[in-house]
Amino acid sequence: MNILKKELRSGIKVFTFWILGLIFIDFAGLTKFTGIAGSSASVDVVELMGRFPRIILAVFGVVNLDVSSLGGYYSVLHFYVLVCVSIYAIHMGGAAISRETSDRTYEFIFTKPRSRSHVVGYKLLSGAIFLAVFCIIHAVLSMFAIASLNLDGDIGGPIILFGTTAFLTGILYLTAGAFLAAFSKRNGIGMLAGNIMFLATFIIGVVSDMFEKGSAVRYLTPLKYFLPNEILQKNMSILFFVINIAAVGLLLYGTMFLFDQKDLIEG
Amino acid sequence: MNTVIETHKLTKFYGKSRGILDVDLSVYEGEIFGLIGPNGAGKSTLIRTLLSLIYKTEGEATVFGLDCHRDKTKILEQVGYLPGEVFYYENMKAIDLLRYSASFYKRDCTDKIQELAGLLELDLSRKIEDMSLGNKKKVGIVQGLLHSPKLIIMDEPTSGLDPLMQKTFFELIRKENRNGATVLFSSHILSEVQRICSRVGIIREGKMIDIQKISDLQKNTYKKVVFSVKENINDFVVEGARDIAIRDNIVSFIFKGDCNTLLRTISGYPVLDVEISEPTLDEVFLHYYE
Repeated sequence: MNILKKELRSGIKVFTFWILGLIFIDFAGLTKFTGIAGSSASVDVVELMGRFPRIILAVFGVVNLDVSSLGGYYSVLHFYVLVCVSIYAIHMGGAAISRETSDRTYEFIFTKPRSRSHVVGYKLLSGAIFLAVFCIIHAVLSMFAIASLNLDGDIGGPIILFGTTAFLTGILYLTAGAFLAAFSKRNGIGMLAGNIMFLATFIIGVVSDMFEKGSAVRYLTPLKYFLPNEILQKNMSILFFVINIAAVGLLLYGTMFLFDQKDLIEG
Repeated sequence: MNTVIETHKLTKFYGKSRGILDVDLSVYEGEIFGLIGPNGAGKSTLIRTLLSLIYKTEGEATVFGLDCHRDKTKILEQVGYLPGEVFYYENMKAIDLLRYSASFYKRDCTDKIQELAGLLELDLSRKIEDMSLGNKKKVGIVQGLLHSPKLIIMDEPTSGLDPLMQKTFFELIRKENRNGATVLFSSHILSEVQRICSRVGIIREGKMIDIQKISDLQKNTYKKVVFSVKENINDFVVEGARDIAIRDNIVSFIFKGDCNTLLRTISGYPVLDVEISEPTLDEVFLHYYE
């Protein structure tokens, strides 16, 4: 519990910066929708989107989305939030393993009468708490912005689902970041591997979006486990929930196992 | 006598690089044991292996009869550790760090923190990032002792402390020792080890070359002698001297033997100046290779 409190306290500054970004995305993004909704502009935007090559739409996460509807437009905003959650999570995961050695405080914390799994477990729990609060704030902000801007469209249910699935995706990246850091012999390499992993899954996500009717490639990237259209239409596959949770379990186990075997030295 | 630390053929390699080789060591309950050796000899590797920060390649290591790796958590409840270089969470105040440290032990350490801070003249309200190396070291000493551990392990503990504070520190360690704590500490300064230890292990290039009682070591104390004379001299001989060098009317050598004989011999020359000092560790260790 002491470790959790300390980790929450030391992570609050970074969290605040991410929340400021989130407020900007949610409010500025939804404010822009007021210019599109219910006007001839919405037709123009749909036409404009149709002219873009599919790969560009895939990169911006707007494939198969009707951005003239609140649900479709919100899905685009949510995609950017999901990218933020994933990057934030993968960095927190990596830091949970390597921060103490890179800051050279490991001789303090890892000579206390607690197992390495205990210390790392609480560090990851603090990361999970930050992600949960981030996703809750995202959902609450979105609902508040929609209400205050008087936007038409009942997407309260999907917003909660968007938040929940963003949390699940975040947890997966959190444990992946920790696993890669535990697997790497040197701190810098672990963090770099985390960044590469995110980039790779982002590119795989783009490739997945290139297929008209979906593809098995989707299984390889957590960014595509919970698709906006499936959330909006409430026909999500339970399989991806299972894959997500199983992957978190395996990565967590792998992290603890590898970190427990590791020599703690600087660099 | 109960053995607190025991290693048998303890070996650690970092990949292909040597850490320590076949180290056999027994540290007994209630003693102050010094590990001495030059930088890179393997002192820190041995200590970090005992603390399970790194894992042995081969051999056995037990503390309080428990396996260093398997029973790490149990062992660390009774161990206080002061690393050679102290790094703490910079944005914390000293008191917050010490409270955080105390929270890992099943006892109230408040009084001990205040007592130690008072003794070391440490301002607990200051942030770690604003502290000098010496003050950070003091924080390290308090965090290592605040739970009254049964075993105190220190790696080069006096670096960064001024001579007065070193004296206070050694008094503190002696007091903890009188209260029942066993102490293992490493140093590359021979006089520091001689000052406080009951036994000393000499480590070089990863190997434990010798373990001696400090009284035996003192009997075998080497001195570095340098004296200058008015006139040219071609030869100088005294029993117990080795590595004698004569250049520009200056005679230097390493001496082990009867000081009276040495002084009588030197006084037979027209001496301008004389200096008798502690030899460097390398100079002391030379005889282990003879």
